[in-house]
Amino acid sequence: MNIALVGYGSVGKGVAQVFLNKRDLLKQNFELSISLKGIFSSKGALIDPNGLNLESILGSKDLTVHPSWHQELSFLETIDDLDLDLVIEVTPTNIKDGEPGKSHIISSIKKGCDVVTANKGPLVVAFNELSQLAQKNESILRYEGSVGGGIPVFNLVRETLQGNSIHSLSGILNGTSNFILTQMTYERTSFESALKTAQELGYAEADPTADVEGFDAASKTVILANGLFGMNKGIDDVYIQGITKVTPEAIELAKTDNFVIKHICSIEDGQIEVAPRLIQKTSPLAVDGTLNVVSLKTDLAKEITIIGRGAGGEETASAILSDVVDIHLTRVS
Amino acid sequence: MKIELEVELTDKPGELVKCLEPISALGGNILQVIHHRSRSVGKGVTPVSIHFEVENIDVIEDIKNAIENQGVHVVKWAQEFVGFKHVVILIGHVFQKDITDTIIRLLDSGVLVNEVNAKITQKEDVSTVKLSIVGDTEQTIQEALNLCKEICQEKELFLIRS
Repeated sequence: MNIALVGYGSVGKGVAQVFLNKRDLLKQNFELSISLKGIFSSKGALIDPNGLNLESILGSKDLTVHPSWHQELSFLETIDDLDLDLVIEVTPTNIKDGEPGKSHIISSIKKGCDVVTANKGPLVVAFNELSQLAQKNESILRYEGSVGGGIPVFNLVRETLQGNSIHSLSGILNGTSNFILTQMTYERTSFESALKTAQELGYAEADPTADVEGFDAASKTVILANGLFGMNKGIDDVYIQGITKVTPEAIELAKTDNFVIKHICSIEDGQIEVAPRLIQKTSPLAVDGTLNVVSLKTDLAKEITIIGRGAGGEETASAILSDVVDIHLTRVS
Repeated sequence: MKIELEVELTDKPGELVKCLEPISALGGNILQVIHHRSRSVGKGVTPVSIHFEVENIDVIEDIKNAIENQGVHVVKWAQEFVGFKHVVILIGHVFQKDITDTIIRLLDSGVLVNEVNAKITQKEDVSTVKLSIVGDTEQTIQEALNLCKEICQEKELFLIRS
């Protein structure tokens, strides 16, 4: 399978590493041989029509001195020259217009390539447009890594809950806000103090707005609403409340009734919401630290909850790899 | 809903039936009947406890009236409340924005606010108030929660609900 990897941040590097680490397993278990024809970063690209040598790339600290490096070469300039089966799109998320990921995905689909992405931006702004384009071009578009990192929510529904109707969904889809609320609960600290700890530990970015104000979680909830419930929603359709106004006193009052406060995403009766909610301590949704959780209510299987790591290069690479294998098996069959 | 009823019955045939028949006729399920003979309240008068349950809470008042209309003296009528409880936490200038008005408006929507807990911090006079809301049906509670959301938007309070 000829693949291009578009985006080489922590997720892109995780994907390259996983392709190398799992090379033998993929051949042995799925008869899948991956040939990575190009890796594209914001500064340029590594290109080799015969397949890049991942050992040398992953061992190199500076890609620009690698023999396969082409300065300022973009994916859109190169796509016609590479004989690609599949494109992995993992450039940084932009939920305003979805670019550059949206153009990468559209061009790939139009070229007849299958696409795997963990990029929320294009899916938030143009989910139905991209899905319909893929259908029209008989391409497969998969996006397991875009929501919940290593939590296989789309695959779970597609592969193991066929025939079930999903009534509602609730979950925690942002590890940073969950870590902050967990700190406030157990360390009895203020929001500001918990945020500082999260930043020191590398769980929160210098500008934590997207996480603590709920925009990141809202983006993921929109993708779930469109991908699992067949909705046609955008970020403006989500009722969003962040966690910045949650007081230590609220956490203490919640405890008196055996509640914890969690930043909950929900899809129910056509309404999409991201807001702090009181959750029973014994609820499966009451996961701590940076963990993510998704709970589905279905008509046949009833309530199903999956818990896992919501972020991280290797965790997201796991979701991307599962999509790649799934597409391979679909194409082979 | 389970109900415990205590009546005083004279010790003659047909007295107990005066109580049991209305319960049964209006759909109640009789669980237990206890004669408290050791607590006799007068010559030939015995306290009797009747435990029963009903699915439709609308018939409770009718059952009570039907028993009393039979001339039976009802001494005790205890209803176990089996309703729906939700908790909300309001954060902001909850007291300055007239908490009495907030509670009265919730009560007017048909729920009971049966517990109020507050913590007040010096910081900008922000208070954090927990209200426990109970109602007969999930729909009543949902309507009260929606009203709570409206009140919080109107009074610029931050709402966390269960």
